Amino acid sequence: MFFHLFIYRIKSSVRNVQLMFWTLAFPILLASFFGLAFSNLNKADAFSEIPIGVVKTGTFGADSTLQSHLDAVSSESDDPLLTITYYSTAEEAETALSDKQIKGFLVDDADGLHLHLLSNGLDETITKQFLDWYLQVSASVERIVRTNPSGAPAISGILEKNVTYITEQKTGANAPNSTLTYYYALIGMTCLYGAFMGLDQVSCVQANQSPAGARLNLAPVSKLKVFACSLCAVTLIQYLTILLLVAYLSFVLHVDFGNRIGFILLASFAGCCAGVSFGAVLGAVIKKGDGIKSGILIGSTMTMSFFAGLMQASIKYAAIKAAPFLAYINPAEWISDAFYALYYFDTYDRFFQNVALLFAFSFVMYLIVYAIMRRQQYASL
Amino acid sequence: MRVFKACFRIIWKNLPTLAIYLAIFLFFALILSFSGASNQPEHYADKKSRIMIINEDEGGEVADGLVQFLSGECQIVTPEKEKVAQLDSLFSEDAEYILSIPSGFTDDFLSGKHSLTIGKMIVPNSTTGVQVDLLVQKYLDTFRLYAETGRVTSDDTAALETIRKNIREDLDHSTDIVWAGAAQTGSVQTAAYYFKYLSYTILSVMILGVSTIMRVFNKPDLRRRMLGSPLAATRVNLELFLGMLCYAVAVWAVMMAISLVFVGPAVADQRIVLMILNALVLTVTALSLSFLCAQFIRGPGSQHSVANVIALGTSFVSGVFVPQSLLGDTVKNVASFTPTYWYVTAVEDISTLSSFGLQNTRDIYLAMLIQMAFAAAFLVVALGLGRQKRRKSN
Repeated sequence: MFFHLFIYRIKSSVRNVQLMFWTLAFPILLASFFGLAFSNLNKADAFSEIPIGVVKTGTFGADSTLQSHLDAVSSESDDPLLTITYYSTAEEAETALSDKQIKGFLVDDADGLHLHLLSNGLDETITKQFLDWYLQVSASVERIVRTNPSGAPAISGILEKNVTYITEQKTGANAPNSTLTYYYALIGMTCLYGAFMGLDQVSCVQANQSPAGARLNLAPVSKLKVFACSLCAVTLIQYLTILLLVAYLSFVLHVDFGNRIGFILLASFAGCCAGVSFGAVLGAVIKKGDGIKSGILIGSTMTMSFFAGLMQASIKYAAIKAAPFLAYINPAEWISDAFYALYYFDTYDRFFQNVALLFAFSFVMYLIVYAIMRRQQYASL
Repeated sequence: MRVFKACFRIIWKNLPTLAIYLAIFLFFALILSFSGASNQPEHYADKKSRIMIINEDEGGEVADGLVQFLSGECQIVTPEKEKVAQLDSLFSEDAEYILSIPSGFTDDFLSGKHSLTIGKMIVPNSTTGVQVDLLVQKYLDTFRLYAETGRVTSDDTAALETIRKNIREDLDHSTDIVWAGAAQTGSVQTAAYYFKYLSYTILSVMILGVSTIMRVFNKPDLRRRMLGSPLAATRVNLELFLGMLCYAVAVWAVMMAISLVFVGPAVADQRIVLMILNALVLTVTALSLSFLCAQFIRGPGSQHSVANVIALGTSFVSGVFVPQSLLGDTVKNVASFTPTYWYVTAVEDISTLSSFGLQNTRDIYLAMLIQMAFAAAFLVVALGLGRQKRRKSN
């Protein structure tokens, strides 16, 4: 009997086109949109040599220190920072600047150094700070020669000596990548969309909620058994849906999940249980029409996903920083954070904390459903 | 005008659903106003990276001097004690660079051994990393220059303080900037963000509204009843067209009214007037696209699916949520087959406009024309499909 009910519940859920669209097709489409839009984000943050122009007129060339300052970071150097193009007139450089071939150009005339810029950005700031350095070193050297002539002979030796002041430290298990927050929040949202299935199943066993429920209440079968079958069936469908999404993200969009596959499966399962149980509670508690239930479900899952970073990755961190309790009340946050912890940390503490919260949440939700639905009787159907 | 009135009765009944999309849009707009998108300076300003400094050598002249220097050049994030919290901050880009100065750094630095180094945690190969590295190197090289030429040791507090004072003065020297950028006012920037996000709302609300009207009028029973009525088919179609056009104009007017809140008195700026015109062109294109979509939509469920997929999909690939400059070339090529792409291109061009001659505005008008061409193409396909469907059902 159990198997029979289980199979038919699976069939009826899979044939529900709307349900399958929102729980499977929509997340995959959204993931594809993310993939298209974010494909270049990481490359944009990565450093590449800054193209600048230098106008070889005026007093340029008279001061060999400036030339050697520029040579030290040009493309041919060991530590390239700038790609320098030389122009014979300022007009040529201006054309290149407005055509966006260069980020800015330098003119060295009798009034000093002038950097022509068209926009604000990190590349422009680095260029300016590098050129400032030239003026600043000159000022320091001048001061030393003036105030401490005995130290002057050592200056060039000190300036030529390369000292390493900074060493890079390892971050987490994998490199930080804020774009991943969107994908992990998307998995959180999809898990919670399992609530549509939970909601549907509760309506199906309640006689005052659906014609199918009314018919079922007349059948000589334990309601709890039917309900348990339904929940198992939809949890399985939802789990397979999430695995499909994770596989799509991993193999097609190349989203990095780390390599702890067993734990990824566990986090997915915990998320599915939480999603389905959440929908079951909404179905049991709210006695209004389908529209209201769906509205509340979409509204609450979107709010939770928003705070998990679905619309803006920085919200996830900012929200928890501002209100730390949010980390303990938002299932979408637990799901996305479980994936984040698996990817980013060497240890499992945070991962297991999230998974435990998800299972505890599901357990409490089912207890509420059981308390509401047990011994429910109808005077008239 | 029965058909015309019926259009508005249908819209009125479905107003709560349409309001959800409006609310989502307002939500985005609100986040936007808080995210500081409007704080674009009108002239050159250093871009300040967000860095976290863990200084374990407090009291050391070199370490303290470096921290003081970086505090002026960067935006300092409150330091976290726990490593996990530091890593969280780095991942979320709250801190783009975490710099740890070890205990005893000053003594080691002044002894000339340089065995202790400053630790950094960054997103590998990030531009911020290069910038902060440059700043640190600049400060410490200058400090080393003064300390080694003056043979200063860590006990010589007075000399170290003088060095810090000298470096502060030296580092005040800066290159003269000749600014050739367009004078972008904050309100034009805010308006540009608002108008870009607007395409998502206009598309969703138009597809939902038009398909709701068409779904009612496409019901076979109703259509047959109308064919039997004394009202000429041309008149019915004309009223239907007028109804939907009025709906489109109403949607556009509501959005423009909301824009007043975000843009304020700058609405009279010629650039913003162009953005408003561009939005009207998109609304007409969205009307035509919605009419085409309505040919495929059967139930209320599929309405939401189609509206979401089209509005979100085109917004993502066309540069609404992520700036067009950050999109890959392939994505941009694909996106150029959607009207949203041309709408966003026009908004971006308008926001950087400095003069309004035909030379500068040509591309903007061209983008609007392309949108209109899309509108015409959608309408032709929709009418063709509609005729074919009617023939089949007759």
